[in-house]
Order: sequence, then structure tokens, then C-alpha cells
Amino acid sequence: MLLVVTYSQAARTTLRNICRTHDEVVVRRLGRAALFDETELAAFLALRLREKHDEAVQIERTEPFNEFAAVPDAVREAAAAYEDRESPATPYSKFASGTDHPSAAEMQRREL
Amino acid sequence: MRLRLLDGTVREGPAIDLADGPFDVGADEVVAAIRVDDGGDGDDGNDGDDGTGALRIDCPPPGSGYDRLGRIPVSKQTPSRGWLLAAVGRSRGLRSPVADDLDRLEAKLAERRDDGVDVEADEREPVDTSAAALREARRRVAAAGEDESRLRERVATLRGRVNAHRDAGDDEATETAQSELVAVATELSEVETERVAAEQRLSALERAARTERDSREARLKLEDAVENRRREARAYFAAELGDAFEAALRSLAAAPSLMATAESPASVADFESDPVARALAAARLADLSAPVVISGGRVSDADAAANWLDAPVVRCRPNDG
Repeated sequence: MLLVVTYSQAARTTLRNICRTHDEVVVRRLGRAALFDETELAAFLALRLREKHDEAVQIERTEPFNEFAAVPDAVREAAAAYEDRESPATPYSKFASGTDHPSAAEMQRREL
Repeated sequence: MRLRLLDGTVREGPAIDLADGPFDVGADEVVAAIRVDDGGDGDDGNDGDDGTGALRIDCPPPGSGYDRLGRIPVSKQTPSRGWLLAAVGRSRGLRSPVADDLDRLEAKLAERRDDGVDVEADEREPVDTSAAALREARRRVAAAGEDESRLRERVATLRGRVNAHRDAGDDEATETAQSELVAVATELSEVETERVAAEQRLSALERAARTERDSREARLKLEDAVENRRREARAYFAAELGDAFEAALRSLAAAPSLMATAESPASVADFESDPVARALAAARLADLSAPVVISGGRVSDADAAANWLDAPVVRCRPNDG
């Protein structure tokens, strides 16, 4: 999908108008941002918005997140295990220490 | 107030009517002359004694609220009650409960605008994060990528050809294909280097753009906060001065000779939706010492208007005819 984010009042207003008149391309509206579907029309609308408002518009292309393809088993398992912990007050650092679960610092260092 | 026209004619008094006379002066020029007076005399290097100088008006300087109410019709086609009454409040020196907050936010916003300029001016090597620069960087990455895959295919084809010629025992053809392969492989490695450099440049630009967007985002939040406070201030003045505003509209309805109306007699309800009536009512409530410039033909008696508004009045023709 295309993620369109606006950074000025004028750009936000134009995006709002686009969303109103072209709801067929809008997957989701998020305040001053929107997710468009991946069609040429969506790209056309996003590009027009950027032509008009220049740097006040950011366009990114998103891809579906598949945790089984993109994320190491250890991270996935750590997330599941932590959410399943006995005591809700345990911080992750304490929960992970002395186990095979990766530390937050380790995960921060490693890119997907 | 004392007003001197372009031909040297001088008019004096609290109400001056230029609309019916032979003088071709529009509201823009009158308002400009009133503002010029505020900025001090003689700036244009022409003291005007020769009678060819610009329109001159000696009058008290325009104060707060004059920017909106100094001219009727006002700059907005359908001025809201809050918009009008906020200007009335300002002219009277009233402050809304959010005024301090609003001042603080506006100062922050102004600072942020200045900062933005400074950063660009002072930075050793300013990074151009404009949409055009990013577009160019993306275009280069895409072009280098295309070149690279085209050359990669070509290398694969040539490799196949070299092998085929060698298998067939054709030394000469093998030699030719081999040297072509070397040339293309060299080109490929150059393009690869180019592509990597283009990608690095693009990601550096994207990092810079992200920082730039952080600051845009902060500014947008401030702008929204300022607008919210302004809305609250308008609502405050609309509530605070609403009764007085309605009384002014009633007084206007009770003086039918002041303003021409479609229906006559016009009701207070008619005036509620009449931008000129609303502006007049607000100007009456406001504390304006500089002359109110009235154009457009709805008000025909400058003296009566000045009296009712309790402010000097200049009546003239509108600017767009």
C-alpha cells in the first residue's frame, strides 16, 4: 500500500479532500495521513499531492508484514512468551534475563 | 480628522463623504492613507504642499481591531460573530482567558519559523531535502538499478556464448566473445558502484528529510494549538459581547435611515444574516479612534453613520467599482 503523510495544514486539507472524493483508493484514513491501495490512480493522487505541497508530503510504500518470513523465531517466541507471563508487573528486561529470550538492546541492534 | 485630496482640496470633520463628490478615491487608498499616517509623516519624501501628493489623512492612529473593523464591508464575505467580536474585544483592550496561552504559543511558533531560517543559513553543509532533490535521488537509484540488471543479463548471455563457442572449438569466436564479456563485466562493475553510491546518497537524504519532517510536524502541532486557542478566544468574545452585539443590531433596525436594506423595515433577524449590518454593529461596539472607511452604497449618510458608530467615518466608492 501507499502511505501518504502530510506535514502542513494546507497539505492536510488537500489530503482530506482527496480522501473524500476518492474513497475507492483509500484503505484507511489516519488523521493527517492515509493508506492508499496500490493502484496507479492512488499513485497519481499521491504524486499530485506532492507536486502541490512539495516537502510537506511524504509517500512511502508499505509491504505486508509476515512475522514468519521477516522475524527470527526467537523474537516471535519472546513476544508470545512475554505477553503470556504470570505477573503483569514484570518488566521485559527482568523477564528476559537468565532465559534464551533476546534482550531489548540486542533486538535494537539487529535489523530485520 | 483632516483629509487632503490629490487635487489639494481639504475636507475636515468627523464624517467625510467622497462617494458622491467628483473625487475618484477608492476604499483601498483611503485605508492605506490612514495606515501611512500611523507610520509617521513624510516617509514618501513628499510633503504634499504642491497639491500633487498622495491622499493624506490626519487622524488618530489605527489601534487594535482596526485591521478587521476599519473598513465596511469587512475583508471577509461572511464574517462570523466570533471573528467580529474578537476584534471588538481587542479594540477595547479586553483579553480572553486563553490570551496568555495564545501569546505564548504564537511566540513559540514565530521562534520556530526564525529557527528554521537560521538552521538553513548557518549549517556548514545544508542538506537539500526538497521534494525535487529527493525525487532526483530516487530517479538515480532507479536508473542505476535498471542499468545494472540490463548489464547483468548481458553478462549472462555473453558467458553462455563464450562457453558455446569453446565447446564448438571455435577459438576465434571464443576470443571475440570473451573480450566483449570482459568489457561488459567492467561496465557492470562500474554501474554497480554507481548504484551503491546513489543508494547511499538517497538514504542520507531520507534521514535528513526525516529530521526536517520532525520539525514540520512540531510546527503543525503548534499551528493547530494556536488555531484552537483562537477559536476559544472567538467563542469567549462571542459569548461575552453577544448581548451588546444584539443590542447594536436592534439599534440599527430602529434607525432605518442609516443603512439601505432589501426589506424595509428590516428586522433584527434580517440583520443577523447581513454582513454589512453585522460589521456596522461590531464597529459601533468597538473602540476605534481612526476613521471607519465605508464603501458600497449601503450607507448613504456619513454624518449619521459617524454619529451612530461614535467614530469618524470616510464614505467612498468601493475599489472594484
